[in-house]
Amino acid sequence: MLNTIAFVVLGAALILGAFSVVTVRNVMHAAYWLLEVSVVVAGLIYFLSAEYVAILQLLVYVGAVGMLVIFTIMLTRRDPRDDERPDSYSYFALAAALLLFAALAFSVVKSPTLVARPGAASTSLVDFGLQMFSTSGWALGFEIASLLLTVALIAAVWWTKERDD
Amino acid sequence: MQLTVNFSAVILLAVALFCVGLYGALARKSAIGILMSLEMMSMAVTINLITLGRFVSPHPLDSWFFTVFLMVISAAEVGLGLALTIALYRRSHTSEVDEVDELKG
Repeated sequence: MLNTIAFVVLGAALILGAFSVVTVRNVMHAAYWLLEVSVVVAGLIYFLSAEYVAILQLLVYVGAVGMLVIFTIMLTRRDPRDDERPDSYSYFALAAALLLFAALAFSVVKSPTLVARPGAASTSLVDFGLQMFSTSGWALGFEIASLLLTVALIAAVWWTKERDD
Repeated sequence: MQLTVNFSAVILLAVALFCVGLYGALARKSAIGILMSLEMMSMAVTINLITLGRFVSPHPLDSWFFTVFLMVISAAEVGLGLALTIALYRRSHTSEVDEVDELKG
């Protein structure tokens, strides 16, 4: 019972926030709604008993990505009339999104419902760390990820710096 | 903490989030709005991965690793996208993608 209530509240908050992100005219308000969606997704991940990933979701999306988005909005001055312009091809986007939702929802409903594996929640952070940094585990992926982040950082600085040309 | 969830309900929620994000990515005209919609689509994939890991993956921790690497890629993507937005703003003094039509035939 408590599960159902928590899930319905999280789901309603998620859908409401997602619709607000894509429909609110002011980009800054959309960024605030994106923060709300990130927090709700973290709650949903916690609900699925992946506590460490939920904390990471909060740190990465709310902390890093959210701040990045808000700072970019503040650095790019908007034209006030941008908030009043109509979306000319939003009917096409609406049709595409509805078609995709219909197809995916149909396949989800038609597929067999699974039950959670027993003991699925008994994963520990120690196991996670040991596998992440062992050479027989995910150490190579970890190194490639750090390389990717470094390259992205350098590229971001390169693109945004002032140029004379 | 062990909570029981309905598999189809969570997947349907992720599908809904993905489709709303797709609508935003296609309909938004501000480059920052498009990037925010892409972030929501990536979060839908995160929910999917965690749910599938909880229900079907061979090892419970596999979905955690996939999710962490997805977050890394998504953070790099949004960082580069926002850097491009700022570069675009420097060049053409707008961050609305439909006003940048210099390369239009």
